Amino acid sequence: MKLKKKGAVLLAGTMAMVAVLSACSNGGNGGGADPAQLTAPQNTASATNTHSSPDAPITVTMALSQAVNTTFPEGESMENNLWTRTLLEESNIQIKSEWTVDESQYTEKLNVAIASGDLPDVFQVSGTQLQQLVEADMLADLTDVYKENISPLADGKLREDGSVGLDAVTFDGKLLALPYTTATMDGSTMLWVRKDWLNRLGLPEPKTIDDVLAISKAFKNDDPDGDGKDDTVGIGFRKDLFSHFGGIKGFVNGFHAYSTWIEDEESGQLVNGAIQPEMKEALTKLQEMYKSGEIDQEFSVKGTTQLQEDIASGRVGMVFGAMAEPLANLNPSVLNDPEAVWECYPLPSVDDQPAKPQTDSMPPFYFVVSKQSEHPEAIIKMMNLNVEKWFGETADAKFDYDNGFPTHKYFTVRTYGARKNLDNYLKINEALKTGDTSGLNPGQLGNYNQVKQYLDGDKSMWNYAKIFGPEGSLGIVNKYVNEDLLLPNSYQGIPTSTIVKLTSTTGDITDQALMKIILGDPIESFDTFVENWKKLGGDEITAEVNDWYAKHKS
Amino acid sequence: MVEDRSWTARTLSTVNYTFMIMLSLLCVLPLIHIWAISLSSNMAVSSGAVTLWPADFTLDAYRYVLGKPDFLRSLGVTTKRVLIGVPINLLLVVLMAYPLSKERNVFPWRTVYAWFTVFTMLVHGGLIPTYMTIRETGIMNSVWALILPGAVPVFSVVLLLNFFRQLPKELEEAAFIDGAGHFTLLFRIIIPLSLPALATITLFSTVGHWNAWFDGMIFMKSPEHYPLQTYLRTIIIELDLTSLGSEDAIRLAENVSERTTRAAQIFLGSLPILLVYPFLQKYFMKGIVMGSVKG
Repeated sequence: MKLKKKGAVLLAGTMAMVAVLSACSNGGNGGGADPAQLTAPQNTASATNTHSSPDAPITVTMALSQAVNTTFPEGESMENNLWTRTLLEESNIQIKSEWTVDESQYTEKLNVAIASGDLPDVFQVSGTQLQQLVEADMLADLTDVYKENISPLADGKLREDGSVGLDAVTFDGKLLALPYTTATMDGSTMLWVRKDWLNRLGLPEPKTIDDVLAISKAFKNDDPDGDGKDDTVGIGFRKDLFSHFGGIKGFVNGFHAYSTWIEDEESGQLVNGAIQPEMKEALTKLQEMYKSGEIDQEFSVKGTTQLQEDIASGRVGMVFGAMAEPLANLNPSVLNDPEAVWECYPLPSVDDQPAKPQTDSMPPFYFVVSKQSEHPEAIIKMMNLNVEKWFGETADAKFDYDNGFPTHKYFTVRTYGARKNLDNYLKINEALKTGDTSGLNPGQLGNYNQVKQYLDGDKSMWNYAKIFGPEGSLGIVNKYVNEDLLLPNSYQGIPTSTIVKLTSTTGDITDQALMKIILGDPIESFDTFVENWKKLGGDEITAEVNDWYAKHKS
Repeated sequence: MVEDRSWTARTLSTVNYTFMIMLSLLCVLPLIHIWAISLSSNMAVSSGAVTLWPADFTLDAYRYVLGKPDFLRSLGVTTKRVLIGVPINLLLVVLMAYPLSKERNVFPWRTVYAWFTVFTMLVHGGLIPTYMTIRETGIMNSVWALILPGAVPVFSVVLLLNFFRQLPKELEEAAFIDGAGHFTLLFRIIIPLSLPALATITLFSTVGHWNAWFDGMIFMKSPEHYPLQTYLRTIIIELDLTSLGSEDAIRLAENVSERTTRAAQIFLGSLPILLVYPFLQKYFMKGIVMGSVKG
């Protein structure tokens, strides 16, 4: 009996101690956030400012995504830096960080915030998140504030993609987001080849798919590096089949096969490129190349890093990639082996029709304003100021790099427009011819100097010169644009929730089926895959995509 | 086992040892690989010349990392978290395991409490409710958000209460006869006898705090407050460049951190926890085996 009582006392004591402990912990928090501030930050913050004098800055809370390797001068952060101070001085907007997170974790963290209804005033979203927020009616209507506030310069930049982005974020006539308009053309693929190997083996430059197959065979079998060892492959691929660098995208485009939505010439309907007969043909060739060892036997498990290694150690003679590959992916090869010469060519075609490189057509992300925000116009002013500081009259190099700090990464609401790199290329080459650099903006001048250094003999600038210089990869993008060869994805809407849900399945089976065929599954299994694709949601997706297309075709 | 040297027994032990050695190699080799990369030059690494021994030896990566504020700052956050979090874990586990280890006639509600505790092991609150709880209690963005939600590791409680139960009853009776109360009994007799189990729990809890990254990402409002593993994750994750704008991709390619410095940070990040193991190892086996068998 007595023991029983003692036990109860002890229990009570334990409970009390736990209570005390947790109370201490809460109290110890001190400087941390207080609950009131957390529940309704934007309302309290902005409400006090609405009715005060016009000179008081308006406060805007933001979710900030911090890019990799963003560095700051001592004492500064995403919330307090050159950009936020400029914004305060020139547009009277004070940015307050609701939270800041590394960009690799941004989507995950934002999903939690959306689910718990804890939204800042202004933030960046993916297409999927945008669709969710629109359906949940959590976003502010920007139609009027856009018309009233947008500067002609910023408006022009946002529409450089033919207004595809702005149209996509207009839901029932209401503008609910700003697109991050970017150069989808920069993602068009081209063929990168070891020119020194071509020369050593006396091979012609690749013009057709047949040339590519012949070169691939020779690179595999004829010891292109002259070391007497059978240690080379024809074309370098990696596990992500439709990536820019080391993907099969450029190869299948040569067969007029695509992984995007394309218009069927007969029916006028949109169809998925991945299930068309052209894809089967391209896969057959890839399978042959894999069997004969012209493709790395382990490519299905290799990532970017491993492919980079293979290229740097001189095992790879060709690779499909975008215009930016010299920067990080090819440069180690050139640094390692002074004899290595990488040359880029437009995509070769299987017949007399030129190959059309597929590109995305949608912005990778968007900027939105919470419905609770008292100042929806702030986002427009941010966009105006960003475009002004990068492309306008008052553009300055310090908004790109300042004392070695990457200040361009401080900009949160931003856009580069759809032609920035191509424009830079054209301007730089113009200036190289005339010697007149007065027409260049700060960003262009930076690249111009890099090219100039290379032409004057500084080989360490090869990677920039190979992009922006006279023989640069952007010349090929320019050719694509001038000859109207780019093939943007024909589905240009924000994916509906049905599409998002079903695509996770159809996307998976597409990747798996294509990979298996390359690795040796009988080519007939392509037909089974097409059946499955249609059954497991493909038909439904196609119907939704065509609904959108019917509305926007005109 | 010693006397029996039959053919089958020898085969069995050969297979056994081979398997165990392979298994240990599987665990150790990646770490050695990382170590080798961290001591090699960038050029050697990017051309794939480094496997298990540094090529073109250099300490550059370590020099760079130790001069980098982000790494040291997050190391500081994690150290603070371990130093505060582990003692709290230990205290709460001991105070909880002791009453639950008593017989039902001593502590009548024992079963109810025990089930209540075990229930939390099986069913979690879920991410969003947890997030909202942390937000409403106002500990967001402080080190307490990393410590308090997991302050009572139930697995450790179960481990320890089983350990307590197999201690001889006579000790307890003798102590009570000599006039000891429950606290004296617990702190002067039971705890000194339970060091192996406590060492095990300390190890679990230290490793747990050291390796946790998800809570740091969810509950911290800026990268300056990230614990070490959350920070490391931001540098090792391979960003999908195709999902970024191409201009951003260019910028990123210009600035992407070198594999050698990443390797150096991973290695430095796992070093302290590796050093803890040898000291606690001898208790470890004993603690987990004895705690798991009900006496």
